[in-house]
Amino acid sequence: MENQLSRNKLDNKNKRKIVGDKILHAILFFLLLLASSIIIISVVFIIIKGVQPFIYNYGTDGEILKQDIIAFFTSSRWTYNGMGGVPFLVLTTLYVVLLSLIISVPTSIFAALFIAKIAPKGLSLVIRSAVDLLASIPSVIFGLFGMGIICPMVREIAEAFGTQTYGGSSILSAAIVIAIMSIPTITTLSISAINAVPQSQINGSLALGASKAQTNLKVILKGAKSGIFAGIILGIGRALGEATAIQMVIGNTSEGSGFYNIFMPGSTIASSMLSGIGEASGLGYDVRFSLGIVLMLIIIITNLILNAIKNYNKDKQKNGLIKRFLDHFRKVNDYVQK
Amino acid sequence: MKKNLLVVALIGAGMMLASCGGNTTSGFDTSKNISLYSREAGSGTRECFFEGIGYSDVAKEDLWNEGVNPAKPTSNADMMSKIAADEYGIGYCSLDGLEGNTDVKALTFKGVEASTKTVVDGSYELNRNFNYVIRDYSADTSADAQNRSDVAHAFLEFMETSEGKNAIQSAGGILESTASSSTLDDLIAKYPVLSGSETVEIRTCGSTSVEKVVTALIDKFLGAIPNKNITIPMNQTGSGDAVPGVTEGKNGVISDLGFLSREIKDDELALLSENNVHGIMCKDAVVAIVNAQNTAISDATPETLASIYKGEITTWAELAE
Repeated sequence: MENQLSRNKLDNKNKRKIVGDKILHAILFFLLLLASSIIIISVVFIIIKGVQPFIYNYGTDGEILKQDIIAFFTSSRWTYNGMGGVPFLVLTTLYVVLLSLIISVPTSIFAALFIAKIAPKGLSLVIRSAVDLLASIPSVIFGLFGMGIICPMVREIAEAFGTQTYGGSSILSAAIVIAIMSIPTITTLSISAINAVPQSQINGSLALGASKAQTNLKVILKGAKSGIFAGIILGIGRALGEATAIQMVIGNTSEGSGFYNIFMPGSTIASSMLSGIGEASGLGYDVRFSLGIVLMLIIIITNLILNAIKNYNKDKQKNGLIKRFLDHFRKVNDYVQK
Repeated sequence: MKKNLLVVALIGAGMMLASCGGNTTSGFDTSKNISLYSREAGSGTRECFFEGIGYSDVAKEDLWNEGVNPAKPTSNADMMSKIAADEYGIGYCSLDGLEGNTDVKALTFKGVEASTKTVVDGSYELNRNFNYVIRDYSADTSADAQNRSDVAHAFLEFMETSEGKNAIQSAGGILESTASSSTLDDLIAKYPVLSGSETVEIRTCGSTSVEKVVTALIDKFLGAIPNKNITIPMNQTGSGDAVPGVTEGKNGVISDLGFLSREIKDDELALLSENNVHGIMCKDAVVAIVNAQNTAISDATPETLASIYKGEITTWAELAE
């Protein structure tokens, strides 16, 4: 009897627990729906708005004014009168990101190596918190820093090379600012990747007589490769979408045939979207959403390519292992048959 | 390893410091290229400048000639700081805010220096009017429409009082006419709604360039009248929306006051009835500016400015010839 009672009690307790679980599930599911619907709604909204300039007529008094679709993909000049083209914006965006990677990737990786393995504990803690702090600084601050420090610096460099810049407002300045902005992201992820390399591998390398520097460069960095790569992917994401800081230092031109000259001003997709939006109306406003679609596409494609490269590297490693295993198996087989 | 890294870090820091301090004045080299600066498409300042120098092709859109590719600062202040940083740059900005700036040099236009005085007497030609236009209330006899009509007309008359003129001047507007003799008290006596307690909302529309002046006016006006239930929300989108905004309305909403940073065009005048009162609120001047170290130019004619922006003159030396 008593047993029965306590069992009932237990059942009730369990039931209550189960109900609680279910409620929690429902709440979490609702939050999931909310979060994902915000993304979906904004993407759908941008796509609908961005397609409008190609379809609707924005002209008044019988004029026809819409975004010319052929010009959009071929013209080398970005304007808001319906004849603008994106190719140079796309090229400049990728170019700026590439230049910034040349600066940020080596800096971040070696900074991460220094923080994780070489620096004394106190120093590494200080630098690490500084790097974390840097990651949370808003981009407009980097833009101001760029205008005040980087641009004059680039002007001096250009003078040393005997060319002229627009007071330092140039593609190089934008690349440097973007590099500074993505360094914290790449560094933080690289530190985690380096820390994840097993101590046994490091010990093994040292025991085999490799110097500390050799171990750091050849064992640790190689082992942390895929984590570092993930950091670079995130850094690229931040660089591609950056508008405020770039717009403040890149100069915002409308013609991009000379974009490869790093001392000349240019325009990226995001900076063109932002530049002059306060005065924009009608077609000039809606066409910025079309730029938004292009930017989203570029970010998706870049991420797909980078992930493919990452997976390809992994596959190659795996194939190598299997091959080695098979080779080994064959050797054993041969030995046994002898 | 540690030592090497330290050395590299020190060299890097040294380079940065060196370049920070290096704001050297190396003298003005006229063989250098002119670097062009222009405000972005859609800016009223840009429209006024290029209409004023007779190169209206690029007044509204970036239809520059082949090889011409100006950098585009995004505001008046940005324009001034970019020109201050570029010895060989040329640009233009609104006269408002240029005072006291020693990093840039304002060019005289056809030999006339831009100032409140020269704009008012008409000798400085690179200027524009800020115009207003009011809604026609004659068709609507409801009490609300009557109240809105009273507030809108009171606001227009307030612009002419000395308080209103002070507000315009404090926001950088240049005034041509002197203040009317009426005071704010006269207005409150004339329009009972200003001292009542009715809830009245009048809306503004039109140019974004007038925003600073109109905001100053609204603050002064609403702060001075006893009826605190009157509100004046602003919805500035561009000069082109002013006349349509007060006549047929935009998105089903007809505004009460429209502002333009240019003249009202003939086809816009055709839309207005005699009850759509319109006139000049104040003036603004646009000034061509170069870096303070620039010795190659101090006076600009419309022709030289146009050929600089057309890409016919590319170096400062060519300009001197």
